[in-house]
Amino acid sequence: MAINLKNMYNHNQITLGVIGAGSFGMAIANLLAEKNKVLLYTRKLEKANELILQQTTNTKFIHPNITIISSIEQICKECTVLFPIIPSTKFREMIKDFSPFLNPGHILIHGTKGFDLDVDINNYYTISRSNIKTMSEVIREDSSVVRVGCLAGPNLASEISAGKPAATVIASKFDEVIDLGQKYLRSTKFQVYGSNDIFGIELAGVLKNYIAIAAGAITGMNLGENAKALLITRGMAEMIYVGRALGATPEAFMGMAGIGDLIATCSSPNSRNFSVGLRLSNGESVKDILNSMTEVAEGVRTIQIVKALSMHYQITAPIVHVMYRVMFENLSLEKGIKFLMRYPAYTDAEYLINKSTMDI
Amino acid sequence: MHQILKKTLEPIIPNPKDWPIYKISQHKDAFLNEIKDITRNKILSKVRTEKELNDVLGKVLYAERIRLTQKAWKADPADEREFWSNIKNELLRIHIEDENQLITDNSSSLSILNKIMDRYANEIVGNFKPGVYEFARTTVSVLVSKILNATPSNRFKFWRTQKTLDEKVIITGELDKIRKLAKEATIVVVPTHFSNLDSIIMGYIIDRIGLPAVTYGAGLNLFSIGLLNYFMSNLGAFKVDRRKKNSVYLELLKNYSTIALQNGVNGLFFPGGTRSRSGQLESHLKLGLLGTTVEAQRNLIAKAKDEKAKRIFILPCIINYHFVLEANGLIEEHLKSTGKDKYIKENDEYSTSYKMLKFIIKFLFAKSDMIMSYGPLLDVIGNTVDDEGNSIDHMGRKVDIKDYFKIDGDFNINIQRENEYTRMLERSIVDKFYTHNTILSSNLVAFTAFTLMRNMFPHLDLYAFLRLPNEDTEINYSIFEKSVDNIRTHLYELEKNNKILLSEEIRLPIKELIEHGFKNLGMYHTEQVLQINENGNVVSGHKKLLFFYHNRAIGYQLEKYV
Repeated sequence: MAINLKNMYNHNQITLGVIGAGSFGMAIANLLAEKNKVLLYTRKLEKANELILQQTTNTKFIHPNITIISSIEQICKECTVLFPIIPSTKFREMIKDFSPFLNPGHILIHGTKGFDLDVDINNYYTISRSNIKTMSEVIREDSSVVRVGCLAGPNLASEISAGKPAATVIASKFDEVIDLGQKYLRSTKFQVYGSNDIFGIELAGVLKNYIAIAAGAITGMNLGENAKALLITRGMAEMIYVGRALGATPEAFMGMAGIGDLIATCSSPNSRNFSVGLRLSNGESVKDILNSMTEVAEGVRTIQIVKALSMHYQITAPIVHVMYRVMFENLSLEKGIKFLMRYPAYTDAEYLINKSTMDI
Repeated sequence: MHQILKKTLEPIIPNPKDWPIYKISQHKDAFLNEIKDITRNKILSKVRTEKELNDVLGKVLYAERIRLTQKAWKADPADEREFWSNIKNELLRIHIEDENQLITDNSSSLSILNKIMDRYANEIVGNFKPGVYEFARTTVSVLVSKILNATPSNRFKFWRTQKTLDEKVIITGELDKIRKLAKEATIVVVPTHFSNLDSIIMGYIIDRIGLPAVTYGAGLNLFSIGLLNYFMSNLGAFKVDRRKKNSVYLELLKNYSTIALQNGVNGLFFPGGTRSRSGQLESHLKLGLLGTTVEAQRNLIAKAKDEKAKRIFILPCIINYHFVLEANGLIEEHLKSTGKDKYIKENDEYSTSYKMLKFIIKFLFAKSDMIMSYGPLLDVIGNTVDDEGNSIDHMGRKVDIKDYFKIDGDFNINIQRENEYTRMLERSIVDKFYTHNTILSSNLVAFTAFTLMRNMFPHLDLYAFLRLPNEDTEINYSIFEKSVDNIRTHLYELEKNNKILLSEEIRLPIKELIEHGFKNLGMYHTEQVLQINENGNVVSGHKKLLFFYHNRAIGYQLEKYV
């Protein structure tokens, strides 16, 4: 037993870094801290101090193995494996700040489900693949890091924090990145799958966000489980069409990051995106909802992006178009959802049957 | 700094006896033993029991017996059949009682593996004799000069070739940097490949910038020609038998390359595998051989421990000429492979002796230049390299090559990671092929003319288009001139953004440029690929060749500017 303890201590010598102290970042940091020392970086000093206070006073569960810091240099020096988990709109800025301290020996596994854009989405009617970057592409572009991975799957932060079982998929072109992620994250309560299709997995993680908003709305409107199942299934098809237009294969959408995450976020009020839909159905205005949220619901921005993409690639994507009109063009939610529920259908799961029928 | 070579440069290591390639040739046994040891270890890392090794050897034997019966060559050694039937008998004699019997030093299957490896290694290995090298150096100079610049004016001072060669073979690149770094590092030259002449030309231009001789894999069939065999065998070439595709042979071959690189021997291989059939620049490379550079660099890092590791640098090399001697055959093969049944081959163009004679006369007496651009030196990840040999990543930041091979701060070996790095290297080399491709007058006129002709028949597929009579695809000269000018304007733009290189004649007044292009375009072919007809319009005498030369300028989105 004593030997075991010693081994555990040695194991603790590896320090892992988490960038961003949002709810998902915190959940991952707590998971990692069960076996390792963790440095948790947050940009603002006040936020760091507040978290340290919460940790010492036990007002919020922050594992004792976690040290909260706000020095970029320190976290890059002490950790070769970093988990950036911050909103997509701030991601590139963050990487640029970290970049001088990162070298090819670092490994970055991000948990951000959003796109980086080279244009202001509010000013553009259509955008194409060349305008959007996934987070792993941002890391490759703006730092010397080459070994990049991403985390996606049904992992609602609040459930993970509550110690409920969950699963994730780590995607990377490098097997060693997947192995590392599995080694550090896997526990009896947390299953970790692997995939080499990082682009597909990142895409699945992003696209499911706006389906969750629609699911929240349907739930709030009490349309029943059949209606929600209809939405989720057609949402899945729509995700695959958008993914295909961007160059991804459907396989990634069938796993943890696609179906898995879709089911979780479309059923849980704990999901930020789902709750946006829920509040919409209660008659709240989009403006009020966004203003009152403490954390970003990536789905709102995803709606704008996917709508512009579907215009460029001429994909029939009814869910995103309806949600766009509801959120930005004052279409009433009832009308929108009614339209979706009556949308004419021909073949079931046609994306599996005939690859050439790109459009519905 | 991008330089143009003015005169042949002094060798950076003056005495060929100090070159690593000579040293491994001198210590051939030790060199081969190292290769065999590593190959054996790699094979044994994949099999555990004697039975499993037996299965591997059985597969090798099976493949070799098929080769012997179906693809025998005259060049094969006389005792080939005997050797393999002995191997067969020995394999049959092994009786495995326990399926789980582990391999030991005394295992009979291990000794059979050793025998096979001995035979392969002795077949593959090359020699390097400085005397032969010196002789070949002069001969090739004469040969290349004869092909490239035996113009009527200097025909009579035939042997005074040096000056004209310097003018005719234009070599550009960061020459000082390459020479400086080559003193410390191992250089692997990776050229584009369009013609069988390329290997001779590469040997010549590597020598001209003063680099020590390179080792390269040459097809075993070339060694069956007596004189060629003598030269190749003694100039550092090693033999590659494309018929042998069994695991032991391929593993040995790869390790030959890896160990030679680790010993500081400069290497050369055509990363595209074979000559470009379509005339287009390579966009996919053979990853197997490319991967040996990553592996060799990793081993050098492991050996260096905390010291500075010896470096391996990749030198992309882009060969541009107005003509490809075998263009006709290449494009036929390309069309056949892409078109399948749609493509109908026409009569042989070189049917009459008159045409043949014309070809040879043109070959010997026409005047043409060649432009050879060395791209920037790359590390094995595909990063560029500064004057001190530090890797500089895409951010312009100095990075330590060792960091790429570390995980959790420690060095380790990971094959899958290295495969990814090889892909990164591939993309970087392909990128340099395109950015350091020199557009010649002939490429420009061929591209413009073909695109204009093609646009006249958008409803036809390529194969039907190529079969159209030549007079149907006549284009108006003034339209042609305007299009050439438009594309040229865009080429200047690309050049400014470091996306392409342009040869001097591109800057000529438009009429002279077109004339230069027409004159040089495939000047060794019997037909005029492009010419002005009696109406003063542009016609093609051979659209397939026009297509071939046009392909060289593909990949820059120039089509929209026609």
